[in-house]
Amino acid sequence: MYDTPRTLSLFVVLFLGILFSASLSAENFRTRAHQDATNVNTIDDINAEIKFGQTISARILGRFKEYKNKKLKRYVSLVGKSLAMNSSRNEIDFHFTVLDADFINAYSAPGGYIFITKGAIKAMKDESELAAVLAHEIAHITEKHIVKEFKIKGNDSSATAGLTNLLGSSSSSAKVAFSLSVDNAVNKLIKKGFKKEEELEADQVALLLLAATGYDPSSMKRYLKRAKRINKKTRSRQVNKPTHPPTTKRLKSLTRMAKKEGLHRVKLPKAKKRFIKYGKL
Amino acid sequence: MKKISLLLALFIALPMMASAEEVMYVMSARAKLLSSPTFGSKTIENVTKGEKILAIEKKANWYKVKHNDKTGWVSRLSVSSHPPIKRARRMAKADSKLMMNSRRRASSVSTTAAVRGLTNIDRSRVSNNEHMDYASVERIEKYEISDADIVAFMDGIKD
Repeated sequence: MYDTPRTLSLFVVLFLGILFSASLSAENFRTRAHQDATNVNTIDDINAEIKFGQTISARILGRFKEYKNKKLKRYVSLVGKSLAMNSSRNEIDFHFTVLDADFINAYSAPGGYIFITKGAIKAMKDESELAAVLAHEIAHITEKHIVKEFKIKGNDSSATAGLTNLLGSSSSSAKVAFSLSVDNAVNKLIKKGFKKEEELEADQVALLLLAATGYDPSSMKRYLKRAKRINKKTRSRQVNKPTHPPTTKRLKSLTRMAKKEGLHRVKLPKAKKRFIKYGKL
Repeated sequence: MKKISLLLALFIALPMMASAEEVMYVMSARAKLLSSPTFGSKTIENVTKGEKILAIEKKANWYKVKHNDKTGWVSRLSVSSHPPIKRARRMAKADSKLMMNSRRRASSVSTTAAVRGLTNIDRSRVSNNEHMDYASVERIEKYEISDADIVAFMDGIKD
């Protein structure tokens, strides 16, 4: 009965369909895997990213002074570097700096430069909350939000896209392009803020990073709620506006992500005692 | 009938051959092979940085992988399709050296831009009339903590 031409044709069509869908799904998987691999670029790209980050950091530190407290610097650096060690970008050195500013905020520049205000640390209750804020900033760097937007590449044929070309070039148009990129990146970090979807992505990656390092992932939500309350009280006196999307949106997204990843069932430490000893301001 | 049997064999075998497998490398210091794609699931084994694994499936933020004849799930944050590369710290330091040289000449904390090919006029464009504190950037970059201290600190994450 299978020998009829009609059945045979049906069989062949079905076979080709399955083969096509299998190879398509294989191709999609490879594409997705390759997209994830964009986290690692050439040494020239990384060098260009670091140089760009150095310039932005010089601008941030020209505006806000470093809070000089050796014990706190070491503690914040240890928390941050622990998270960075579990991140997808351990080819760069991460640097963590406390800024002498009373408002609540944190910034990250490409190449691994992370800044957190004294005010942000004052609002924290335990180490997992400090880890949450640092993980969020690390995520902006691992997901290359600034690098992608400003097309920071080591070697690029386009004069406006290749940072190395801009830095090495003697042409004034290249220097102006570099200058504009720095201005825009600083404006994005300090005034405008990241795009909503970039912030939500950074929150999601931060959740994974917290859990992978061994911190209570619910710390992010706890801290966001408290920061919102504090900001509400002090907003009238605040010079630097918050640069993040509304807390309610972030909390909803975090709840969804935690459920999806099974993180709502995970019990991990808050490390409160160590925070009180080294991080409490 | 023979033709049909052959087609049937191909029907089963070819889609299997077309299934995706990708060599990936462990990037993070403490990656775990888990029994299911959720945190808190059973740890099958620990995988170390630089180790090769074979990814066979991707589900949201997780890869299903084969490692040492075992199959499990790793977080996408922990792996990459490129092997880990050396930290770029040395290059950044080389750049700092340039900054130091420039500072000696000009006795200023804001002269690195000139070294990088920017004239005074261009530098004022870069800085947008804002002070740029490269000395602090350099100090921040010099601050180091050993990997052993970081690992010991991670071991101390507890309530």
